[in-house]
Amino acid sequence: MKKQVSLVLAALLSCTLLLSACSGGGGAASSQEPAGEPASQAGEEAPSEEPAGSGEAVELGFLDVMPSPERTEFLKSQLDKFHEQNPNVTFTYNSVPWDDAYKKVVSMAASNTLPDILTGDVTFMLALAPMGQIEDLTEMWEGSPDYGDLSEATKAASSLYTYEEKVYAIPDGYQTQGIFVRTDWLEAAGYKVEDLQNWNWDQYFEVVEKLTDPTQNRYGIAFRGGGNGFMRFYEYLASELETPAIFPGDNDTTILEDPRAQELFEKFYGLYKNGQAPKDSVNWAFKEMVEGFINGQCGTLNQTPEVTITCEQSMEDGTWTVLPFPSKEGAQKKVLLWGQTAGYMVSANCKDKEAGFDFIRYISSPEVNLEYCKAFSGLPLYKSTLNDDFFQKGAMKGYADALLADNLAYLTQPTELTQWGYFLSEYAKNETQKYMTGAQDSATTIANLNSWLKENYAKDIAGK
Amino acid sequence: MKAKKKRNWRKWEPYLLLAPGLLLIVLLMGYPLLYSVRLSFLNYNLLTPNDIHFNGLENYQKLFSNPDLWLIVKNSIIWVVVVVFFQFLLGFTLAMLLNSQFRGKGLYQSVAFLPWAVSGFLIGLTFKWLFSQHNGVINFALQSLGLIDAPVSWLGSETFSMIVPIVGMIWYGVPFFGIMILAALQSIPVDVIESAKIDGASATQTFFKVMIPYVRPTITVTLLLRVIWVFNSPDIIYITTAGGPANTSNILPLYVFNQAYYSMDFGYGAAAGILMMEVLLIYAMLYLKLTSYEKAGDF
Repeated sequence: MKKQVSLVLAALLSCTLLLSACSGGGGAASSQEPAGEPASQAGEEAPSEEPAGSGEAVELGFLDVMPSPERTEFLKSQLDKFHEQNPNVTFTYNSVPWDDAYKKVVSMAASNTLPDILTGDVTFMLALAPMGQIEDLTEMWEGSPDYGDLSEATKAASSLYTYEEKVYAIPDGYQTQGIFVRTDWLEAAGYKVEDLQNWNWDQYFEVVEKLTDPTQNRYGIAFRGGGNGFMRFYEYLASELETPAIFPGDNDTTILEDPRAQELFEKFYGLYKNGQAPKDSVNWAFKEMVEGFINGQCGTLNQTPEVTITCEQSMEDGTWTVLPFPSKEGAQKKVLLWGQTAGYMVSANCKDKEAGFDFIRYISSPEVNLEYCKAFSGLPLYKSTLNDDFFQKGAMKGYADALLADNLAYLTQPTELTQWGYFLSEYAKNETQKYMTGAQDSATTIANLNSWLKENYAKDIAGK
Repeated sequence: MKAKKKRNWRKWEPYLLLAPGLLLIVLLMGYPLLYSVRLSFLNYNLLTPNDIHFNGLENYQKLFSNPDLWLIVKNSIIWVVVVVFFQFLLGFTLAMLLNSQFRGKGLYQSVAFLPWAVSGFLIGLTFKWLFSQHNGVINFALQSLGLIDAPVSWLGSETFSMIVPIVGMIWYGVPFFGIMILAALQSIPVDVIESAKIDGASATQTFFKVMIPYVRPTITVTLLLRVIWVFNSPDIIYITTAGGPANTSNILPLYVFNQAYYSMDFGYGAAAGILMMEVLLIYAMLYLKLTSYEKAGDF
């Protein structure tokens, strides 16, 4: 009997473990359930003649996944302004910290409890659209009065907001890559910033090498070895091969099968292996990279315009600037990656879908979009607003001109692969880390990455 | 006849009394467990909700063909053994030190038990900063003492990456053993200790022959629980190294978590969860057998 009791006890203990393991993520997410705050107050402006949506009073939930004090204040003020113009629509503002947002939102979708309107990047859209949890916005967007003013960059980057050729998320503004550099280090190394405005990849590698001096705890690059680090290599590879796609043809042949891929892979990850990046950076992602640059450990940083705000706050004026993204020497097209910080989405369970669409039309209008981009160092969606004075001077000019350029090739991501997000965050991270730590050679790493892409092509793209 | 009926009723009575409790266990534990087992045999990916189907042993085949699985299992065992060993050793020492009267004992006790009240995520952040290659206090101290020539990449090295979360987790869990063992030590009747001394027992004999037998039931239970809790606590690893580089600090619960939430593949995640349960089941059964759990005493 005692033996049986022991067995039952052992089984129960293990069940407890399994249950707590299975509920770990959900529990963590639910413990951070944001408290709702009413965002709308009685308006001062005269309401519009036509009420938004169905015209009936409705309270919509709004969830932001990238909260910061400034962003929250901006979004709440826009919710209030929309309410002033449309008194029948009120909002409840909620937010969830970015680090937990993806898991939280997907859990909400799985339990059919998504808020009426939400923000999220392309990975959110790619998770929610196949589940049928967000609305098709194609008709709404193409019918908006400012559709014709969209920049070529916006149109070229349609894979950021479409799934199976339908629009599911309206971009809030763009971020594109630029190279932050320590100007004081560059000058000490004998470089002039103006000479590097049209630099190519070889010059970039040379600069990184010259800025490296481990004896002074100085490294040339804030390397991204952690989640999504593969994107930095993919940018370089695509640029050098002038092939802005993982699957360049209509078949499963990948860019990694190019005869030069291995050589370029070794050159790029050589930045880490040859000691031009701190050893810890094998695990670095966004936060650590930015810290590495602003705390004086690293001389260059491949990042997006929102980091300029952090640099302005944390670094001395005149010690840093942003250089345009390098290109291949003599290339016809400049391969560049850009993307929205977030997209606005309407839940399939939205209480008043028309009111949700009206709000998205409002917040994506050139005026509001410009105001938003100015406040958060984003780049606007429209040609007219990219030519605004604000974006035609200082560090932002390089970014804005890049998006207005006519020789721009948009670096696509194979968003048709349902596991692309997993590939970047987990699979490619582990494989490249094996190479960086010396546990695996470059040929095996490339072969493994290539096999994964081919297998998933067969599953998600072939024959569709 | 009536007496026979009564005897039959008496036979079922204990089961009826146990029924409400068992029903709760079945509802709250049995159903989710069986659901997890079912999930592990399904192609169940939230990113392809229209393609959910039975796929036999495919998830298990994928799991066991993962070349990193055995590294992750090995890490899990190292994680549990090292963490629990040092937590127990230091916790026992702490309890022995606190099992005496001295000035400021209350304050010292409060401070010593403080780590138990700190969030695992906060501990992870703190230790990540302490062990940072270039800005961390640990490297600074080691270099100042002349013990190392150049800063060590604790977080970026496949050799040292497990050390940081292990040290953080040891610090976190020492008070648990301290509290539990101190409570057990304080329950030992003073006259028993005094009798042993009067009978000529040395301090070592008193410790091993009198005190240890008294606290043995507590040790048995706390070790059993702590192994399960530590095994199932990846939060500090998640914050410090995220299981990297290249899975060299990854453990099974973190692997399950990442699989389930980055790939949305709940079928595969459930298969890995079942593997975790099996590992723990075997451990619990062996532990109970080896420690003669039933004879451990009344607690």
